Amino acid sequence: MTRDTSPGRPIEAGTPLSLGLRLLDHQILGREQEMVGNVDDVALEDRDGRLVAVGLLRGPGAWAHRQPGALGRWGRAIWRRLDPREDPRPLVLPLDHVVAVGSAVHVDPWADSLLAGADGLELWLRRHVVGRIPGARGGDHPFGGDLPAVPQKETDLDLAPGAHLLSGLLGARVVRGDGSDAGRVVEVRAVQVTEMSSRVGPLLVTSVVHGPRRLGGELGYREDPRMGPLLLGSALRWWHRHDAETAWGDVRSVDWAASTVHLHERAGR
Amino acid sequence: MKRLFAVALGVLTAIGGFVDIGDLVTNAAVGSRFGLSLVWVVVVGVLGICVFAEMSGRVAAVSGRATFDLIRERLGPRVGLAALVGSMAVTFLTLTAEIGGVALALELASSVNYLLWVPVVGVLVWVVLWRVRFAVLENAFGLAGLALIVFAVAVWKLGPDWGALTAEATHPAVPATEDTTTYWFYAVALFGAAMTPYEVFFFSSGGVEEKWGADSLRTMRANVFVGFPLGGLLSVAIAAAAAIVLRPQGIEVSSLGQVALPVLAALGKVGLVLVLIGFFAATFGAACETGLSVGYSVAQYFGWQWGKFVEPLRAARFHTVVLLSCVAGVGILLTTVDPILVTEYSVVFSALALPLTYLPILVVANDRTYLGQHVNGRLANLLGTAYLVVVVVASAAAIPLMILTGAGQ
Repeated sequence: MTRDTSPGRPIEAGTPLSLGLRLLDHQILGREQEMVGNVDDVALEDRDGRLVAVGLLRGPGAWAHRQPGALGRWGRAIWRRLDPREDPRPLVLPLDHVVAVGSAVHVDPWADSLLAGADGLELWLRRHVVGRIPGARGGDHPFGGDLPAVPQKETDLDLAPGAHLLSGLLGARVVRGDGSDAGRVVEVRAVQVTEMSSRVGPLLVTSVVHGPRRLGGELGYREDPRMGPLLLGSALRWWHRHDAETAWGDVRSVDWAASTVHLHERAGR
Repeated sequence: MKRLFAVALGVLTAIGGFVDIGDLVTNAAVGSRFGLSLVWVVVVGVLGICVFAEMSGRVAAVSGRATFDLIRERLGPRVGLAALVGSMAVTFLTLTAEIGGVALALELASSVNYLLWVPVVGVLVWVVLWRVRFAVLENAFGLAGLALIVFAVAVWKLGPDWGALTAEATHPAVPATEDTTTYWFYAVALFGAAMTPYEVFFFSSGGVEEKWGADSLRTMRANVFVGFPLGGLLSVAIAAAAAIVLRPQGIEVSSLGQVALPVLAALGKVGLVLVLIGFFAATFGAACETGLSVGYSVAQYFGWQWGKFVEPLRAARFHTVVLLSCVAGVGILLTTVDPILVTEYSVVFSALALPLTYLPILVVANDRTYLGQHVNGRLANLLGTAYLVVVVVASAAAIPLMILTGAGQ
């Protein structure tokens, strides 16, 4: 075992984290590097006029929400039908339980047992399919601890009323104060609310990047001007040459229902 | 000493594990119709898989993220899902072809109809994936696959006109008996056979299974840059053997038995025994790799626990996917569809599905937050960019060429 098993790169104090590139759709790892899902969405909350990322959504419900058209509707309908709860909502893991964000998102022991215990499909298959085949246990596996096989009682980790989703902000239309079009949101940047090294905690949204083109915006060429290969990098930077970054203070309001971001008069030039 | 042994073992299994049913059938078919005039495609394809596998192996070793993890992360859930469906379909088709290949090899050895072998092979593949340790699985079939070196021995024993063969390989031209679109269709098929996406899923996920770290990079590179080209040489030997023995007699390859004919002609029964061992090991090993790869790609897209380094109960969804693909593969073969035909389609669709899996790897291999000092150097980026173009062109050309030529008829 030679890989660095220490949790991923801690967030550097004061440096904004690009939520779309560095958090969304990343693997979530537990204490012993066990894989406990993907970041299927990020929960945002309004706090005194400021927008704060507060939690990670994980599970088929959040995943289906981001799929287009019939696929999304069917995905959600199937998930709701199969979930034993009366009114299932995707699980939200508070960012207080995220230890570090690197190539993967590392969570603390409380969170990994919670996430593992809420994996309905995995638990069902363990009990009814895989657990019944001889040889399902044993072998030299690296993880200690008990294996959850029965769903744990849900703690109240549903999406709070009035909370928003990062996927609703990414791709939203941006309109300047004079009513002119400023493209669509391609990236959202945020910093730690309280600077801690041991955990991430809530992230305060500091700016949005928006531009006329979304394609290729998730590849990461905006972040690092040295990132190659030269040809691909130049092509994508040229493609996104009209992208602009607007501080969150210059955002007048967000119409979540119409997925539109309204800027102040002076901003977004 | 131990390290040297590890490197040697890795290189040997990379050689033996390089060839699968797609390489066997496509190379023999091409050799019997086009001689060595398409060898340049094997060279291009092998260099391509080296570039692709080295990048994804490096990302896996340094950051611990396997290929499909990165595809979802950089392409998002929608395009990522399209990539998942496409490459899963191709990998599943390849799994079906490999199971069929094992059954055909057993038919050649036993004269019992392959359809009776198909369920047996399906169960065996699943049992291996369920219980056999990853390192055993990888090494045993890779080493046994080295038996395919008999193709090289056969070519040497047949004593061909080396000058004419070399001239044909180095000055490629469309043979007078074939038309240009068919020639290019087979070029795409050969490229797809060499650059099958599952090889990269398996290689990078295997790196995570075997807990590679930054200090494994040298061993990994030795596997890729020595093992893969030597495996590619086996592909060329298969084509050359077919060109020497089958082409003059006008035999077009449409069965696995015909692939073995040149070796039988050159080396007799001993050759036949070795060829059959080689066929069995190569196809069985590849069946295991593709079976795992289907599970790897789904699990990595959704973030599920995967891998053979945990007990099966801890990766229940992953093992369910693997089990279902084995069952479904057997089911498809039992419809009596020709496994050779499945193989031919699987290599063409491989070429089609490649860009969406290739692009995210090339991008992430340049990301300093993941790789630090191990990001792509100039050479890796030069080759990486060149192959991005090749991969896109081959993908765009695959379906039109298939329709125009009636799949190479």
